[in-house]
Amino acid sequence: MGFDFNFIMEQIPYLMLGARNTLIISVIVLLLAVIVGIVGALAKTSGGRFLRLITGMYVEIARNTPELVQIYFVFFVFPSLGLKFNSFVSGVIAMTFFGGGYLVEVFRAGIEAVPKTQVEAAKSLALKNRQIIVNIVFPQALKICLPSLIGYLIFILKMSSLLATIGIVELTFVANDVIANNFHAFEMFSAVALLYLIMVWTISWLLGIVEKRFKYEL
Amino acid sequence: METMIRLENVHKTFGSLQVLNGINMEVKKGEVVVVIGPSGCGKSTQLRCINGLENIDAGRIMVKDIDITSGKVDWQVVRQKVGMVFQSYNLYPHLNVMRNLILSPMKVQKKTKKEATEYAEILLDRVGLLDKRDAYPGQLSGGQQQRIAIVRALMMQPEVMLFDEVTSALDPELINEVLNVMIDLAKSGMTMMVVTHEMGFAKAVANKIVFMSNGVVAEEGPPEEFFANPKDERLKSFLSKVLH
Amino acid sequence: MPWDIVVKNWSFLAAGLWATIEIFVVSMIAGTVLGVLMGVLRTSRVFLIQITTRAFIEVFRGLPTLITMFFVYFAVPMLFQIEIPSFLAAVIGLTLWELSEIAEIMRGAIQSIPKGQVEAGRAMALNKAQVLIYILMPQAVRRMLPPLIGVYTRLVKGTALASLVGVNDLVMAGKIVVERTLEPLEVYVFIMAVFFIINYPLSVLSRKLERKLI
Ligand SMILES: Nc1ncnc2c1ncn2[C@@H]1O[C@H](COP(=O)(O)OP(=O)(O)OP(=O)(O)O)[C@@H](O)[C@H]1O
Ligand SMILES: [Mg+2]
Repeated sequence: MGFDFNFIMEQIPYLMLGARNTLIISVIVLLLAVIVGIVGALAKTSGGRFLRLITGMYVEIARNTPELVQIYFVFFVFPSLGLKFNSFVSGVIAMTFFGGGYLVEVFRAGIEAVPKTQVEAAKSLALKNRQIIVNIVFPQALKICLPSLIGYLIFILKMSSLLATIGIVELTFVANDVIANNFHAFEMFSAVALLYLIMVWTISWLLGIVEKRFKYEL
Repeated sequence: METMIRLENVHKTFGSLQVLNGINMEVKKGEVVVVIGPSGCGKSTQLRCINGLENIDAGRIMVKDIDITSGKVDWQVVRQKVGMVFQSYNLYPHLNVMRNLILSPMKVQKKTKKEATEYAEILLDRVGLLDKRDAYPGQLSGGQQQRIAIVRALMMQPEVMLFDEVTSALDPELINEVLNVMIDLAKSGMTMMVVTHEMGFAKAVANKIVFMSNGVVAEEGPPEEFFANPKDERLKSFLSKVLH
Repeated sequence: MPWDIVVKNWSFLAAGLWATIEIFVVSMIAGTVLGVLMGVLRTSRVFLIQITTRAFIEVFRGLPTLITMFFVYFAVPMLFQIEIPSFLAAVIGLTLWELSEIAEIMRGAIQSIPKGQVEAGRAMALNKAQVLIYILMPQAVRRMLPPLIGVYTRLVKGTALASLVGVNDLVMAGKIVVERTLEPLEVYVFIMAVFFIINYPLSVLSRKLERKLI
């Protein structure tokens, strides 16, 4: 059985739609997860005991249970609790949940990597705690975290393939949808795999550039 | 003369380690007090207590007429009066020189960017670094960074300056450019408390030298007398080591 | 809340859990053995070996594991006109991902050992294999352990994908029970709890080891 190029050519518009949606979802989730991660990291580093405990529990649950089950949880369990969302929103909520859990740790590590002496210098210059966090600690932590953040986009992008299971039309869904109607699984999955690899490799190539620049600056 | 800083029977421990063991000291307006002593005797800790970076266990610290150990002190007020320069410069690496300088004047003293920048330019010019206003700390030599750090502290128009071994991290050939800035500052009448191993600096500008040992002030006096005729045994052995 | 749904369907869920554990154990062993081999090959000086192992690793680390699994399950049978059972497809998919991760970790660990160590070993008249076994590996293993355990926790979570190629694992069993009873909350909380109980100790261990190394 040969590789049917014409078939793939016919599917290109649909494949592109899938790839576009995969990228859009990944970026949306990244942005939301960054917010969750920042808030969680601040809670963990400078919150009270209760806040730290809650954040810690959240992070452990997010990181230690399967992403697929978390997606199912939002999609199947939430409606039974009266929380009805469409599959797109459900998917974004679930991915933000586990994505944010990872980023809490990433940002916490970044914040802790900012030298204490920076905080002391800022204090000696009469800045208030909030001003120190906003003007001194945070920008430096963000810079430290940037490489992990880009690497993290790869993680999200790969995980977004799970959203096919709840009917979101992204790249993996497109592949399943097409092969359900004819016998071109090999062509279809080759094409989809290639598209994923192009996206992932482009991001990691960017990551390499960023890392190199950082090494030079530090 | 007005007292700028007074430490009364100050005690400080880290866990079981007694670092300050009843320090008494006074710095008057316009004075330059140089603090010396062996490593680990608590010099840095003492300076950090004056700026509220450490809390003391017992005793009292006064900055002008403010008791900073009373527990209800407004640090934003005290820290504007007391400038501090660190051994490791601690410039903000993500901000360029000008932004390092104007951050606190703008955020704390609510100066306009224009006001703050103009004042920064005057001070930068005085230390010979006006051309570095847009550079980032990482692009500067240690000596340049430390001069910027001094300027940054001066931007708040403090009444006292604390210096903690500000030349110890520098290559020998860069030490003088920093010391010269400090000497100029002393001559301009700034009140200064300086922890240093630079005895030449001490002899040149100090009004008083304080020798700390085991968490107390073991000996103090004006430089001529202090070096010519030390009484404390530990001071004698300390001087015999550092003066050669 | 009636938690008896889990109890009532216990034998069904337990069978699923057992399949999940089987998939995990088989993939873990296969992935570790092959990953270590691949990692050693990856540091080879022979260009052709270097480039092929690198391509292999980049592909299977880059692909979503689900896609790899689907490829094995749907595309490969069509290409070669063979039947690949669900269980095998799941194990192969997970193993390909895992071995690539482990190979990459190995490479990082081996390359982070100072060159002087190899030279010292060679100077003591050890041959290449001996240097690898007695000098590099013991040092590399210490550095590898925390990220390796990290891979295992991700593998535990990855086993959930097996349900998507038709394995009757814990997730699939849970789905079926939910379809029968229409009570998703208890079942999904139970599934999450099971995975958490397996994974949490692993992630604590990984963090402990990491701290110890610093
Ligand atoms: N945060 C801390 N926790 C525990 N011990 C500390 C801390 N800071 C300082 N110390 C200890 O307190 C003692 C005094 O430290 P300090 O830095 O004040 O000494 P120093 O006189 O400035 O010495 P040096 O000349 O080396 O700078 C030292 O033994 C030091 O190890
Ligand atoms: Mg010191």
